[in-house]
Amino acid sequence: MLNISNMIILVLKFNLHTAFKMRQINIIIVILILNIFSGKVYSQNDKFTFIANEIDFKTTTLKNIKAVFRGKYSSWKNNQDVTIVLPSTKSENAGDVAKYLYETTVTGMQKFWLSQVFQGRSNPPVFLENDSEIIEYVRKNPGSIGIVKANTPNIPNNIKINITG
Amino acid sequence: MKYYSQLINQIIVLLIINTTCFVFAQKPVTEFKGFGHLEFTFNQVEKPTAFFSIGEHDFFVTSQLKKRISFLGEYVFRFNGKSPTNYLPSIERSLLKFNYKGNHNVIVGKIHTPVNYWNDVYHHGRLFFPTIERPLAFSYIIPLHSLGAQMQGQNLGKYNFGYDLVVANGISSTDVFHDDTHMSLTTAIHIKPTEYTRLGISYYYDFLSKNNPGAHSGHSSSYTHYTGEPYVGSLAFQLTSLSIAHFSNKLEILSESSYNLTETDSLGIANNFSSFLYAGYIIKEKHVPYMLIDFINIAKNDLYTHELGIYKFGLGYKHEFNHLLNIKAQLEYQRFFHGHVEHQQHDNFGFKIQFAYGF
Repeated sequence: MLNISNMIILVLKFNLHTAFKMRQINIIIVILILNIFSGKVYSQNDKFTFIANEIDFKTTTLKNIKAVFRGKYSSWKNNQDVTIVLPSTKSENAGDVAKYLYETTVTGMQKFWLSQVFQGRSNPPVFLENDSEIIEYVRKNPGSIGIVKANTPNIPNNIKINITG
Repeated sequence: MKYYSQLINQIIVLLIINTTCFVFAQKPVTEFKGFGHLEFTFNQVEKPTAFFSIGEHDFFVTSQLKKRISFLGEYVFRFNGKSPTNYLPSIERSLLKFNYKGNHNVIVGKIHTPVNYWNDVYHHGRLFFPTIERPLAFSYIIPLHSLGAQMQGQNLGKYNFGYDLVVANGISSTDVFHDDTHMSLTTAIHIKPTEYTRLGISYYYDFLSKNNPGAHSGHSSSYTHYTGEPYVGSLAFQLTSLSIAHFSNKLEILSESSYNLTETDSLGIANNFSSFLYAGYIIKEKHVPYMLIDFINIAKNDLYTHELGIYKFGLGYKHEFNHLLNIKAQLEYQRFFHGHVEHQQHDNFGFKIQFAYGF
């Protein structure tokens, strides 16, 4: 036999359980909504993170950043020269970066820049041997923009570029 | 033990970071590069000839002098039988560029006149040439260099619009002197509707008060092949050029066409034409079989270049070892179909091999 007090306790337990479940559902919905909206904004690409120091944007499209890396801009709006920082042939990332940004091989990427520089249309990029060197260079040189592997440790948040879809 | 090991690791990491910081503090501001080529040529005109030759050797320097101001220099050594050493150096480009706003620049110095894609994009190093030689027009009607001031814009807007406006010493000037006050004028515009495609058009005007040969009229300028009596009156020179270039990872196409008009009081207006077409197909990024068609026709009444007609067909193959070395082999047929005394009508079969390198 259930007495009144037990009944009250059961009702309370049911209500609490339902409320908890509702809260869980609400949280799941909020997470889903956040995922839907954040689906087009990545703090970093799956493979790579773009980093920059004192340039025109903190968030941009992949198309635009690829254009930057192909020498589209000579200087930023803040009057800093654009300095492209890329992995050198000694870097294990060079092949992946060449394919990702230039749709070619390391040789193709270097040929592209050799040609650009000696046409007199672009300043030479800086080629560095590994990601930590690229991070350090970008951190110290205003106007520079570089690319490193997304899982590189210790990338300062203040130099990361957000890429929108 | 573990504690000491961690401590040593941390010290090593700090030392590495300190060293790299020191290295990075010295931003590279000046770069030197060199380009050169070697060739083997077989020609069958009347008597066959076969020979090896050393080509132009091209030394480059680029330097960021200060923020937004850079320097570019290009110095070439090439064979010249009239020199006591058989070689003569020349300054092919020497320019200061001031990036005054965004993608807009002011340039002063000696430049490659931006009349067409080839002259704007390639330099004297053969490493980037798609074929073994320049188009025929470069030896006759293209004003290769200008010494003066240039306004330049590039990659503007959605279609990557670019412009060049050049006021410079004319064709008849040397690098240190011009015999009159007339300046040459070049206007050129281009767009890059895709990453790999560039379409451009240009107009060049010069007035030569005495039709003197200068340093900027091409490496085989008008008088080097003409053995008749030179015309020394005034001459107006106009050149309109159209370029279509497409260089993707699979296909390379370059079409250069020019219409040259020269006008003199004695023989009136002469209409001259040139056209060049190159097409190459890239296989596995290293192998590029290609073909070329080249044509130039200089009218009988032209007093700058003098009467001339040549067409040329070629088939070739380029192998790229890496971005600093390639080899090209080219089979070509050339016919001089009319011309003045030096260029009597004849055919020429040729085979050429070229090693082009950068260092």
